[in-house]
Amino acid sequence: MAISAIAGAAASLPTVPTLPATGQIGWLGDVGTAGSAGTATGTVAAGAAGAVSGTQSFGQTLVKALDGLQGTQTRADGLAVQAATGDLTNVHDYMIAATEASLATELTVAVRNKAVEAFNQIMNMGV
Amino acid sequence: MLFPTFQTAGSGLGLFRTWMDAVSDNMANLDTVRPTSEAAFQARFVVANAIGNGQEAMTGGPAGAQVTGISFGDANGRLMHDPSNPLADADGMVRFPDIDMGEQMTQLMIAQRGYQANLAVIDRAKDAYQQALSIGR
Repeated sequence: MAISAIAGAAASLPTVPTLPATGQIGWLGDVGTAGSAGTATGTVAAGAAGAVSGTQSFGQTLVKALDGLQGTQTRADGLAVQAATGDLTNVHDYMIAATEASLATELTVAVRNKAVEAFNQIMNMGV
Repeated sequence: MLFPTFQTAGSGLGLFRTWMDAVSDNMANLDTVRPTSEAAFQARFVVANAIGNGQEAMTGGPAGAQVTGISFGDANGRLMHDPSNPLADADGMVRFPDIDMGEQMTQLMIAQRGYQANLAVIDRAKDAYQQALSIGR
């Protein structure tokens, strides 16, 4: 829930320049449906008007990544429930899912920090 | 796939855990006696195969190994002379499973080492990813 809220907020940052949609940009892949992306995409598309078709705005990329992160976390949560109820057959399955979720979170936070840094640098530019 | 190394090493963990399960099954049935009219307890062997065609490391997809089946050992077992056994036939023979404890012990050690090796891979991969995240920090 909290992540969806951040996704919505992030998507409404049209000031950040658009990035080309290479395969590597959507680093979390598309896990789950982009529920929050529906409304958010409109805002982003408006901000990134004139972008070449086939490119993806930074906001869209971020929303996609956050949805992927949500999927990773949900998977780890499901396995944690299985562990608690005794349904977990492979201990390593949960540990791997938890490590993946933790790394994906770190990655998303790192990207977010970089984006905020870039935004602040632009905002502090003397005109 | 975000972290394909984890999927690959995880498949190895699953395989070696299955192998350990099979060995423990064999160990538990080392002394399972059957009458000569029935088949002896058959040793369990894990059949494994590689996932994919070897191009996964290049494309970033998950590779690894998987259990494709279980095959069984000799159903004849070892015929032993044990007239005092209630399952013995008229000649005093019973069927023991054809399982060698030393061999099972060795298999258990190999499986355990394989599991540890895959855990080490996951550990190193996690360290590598974390160090990559610290670039420019």
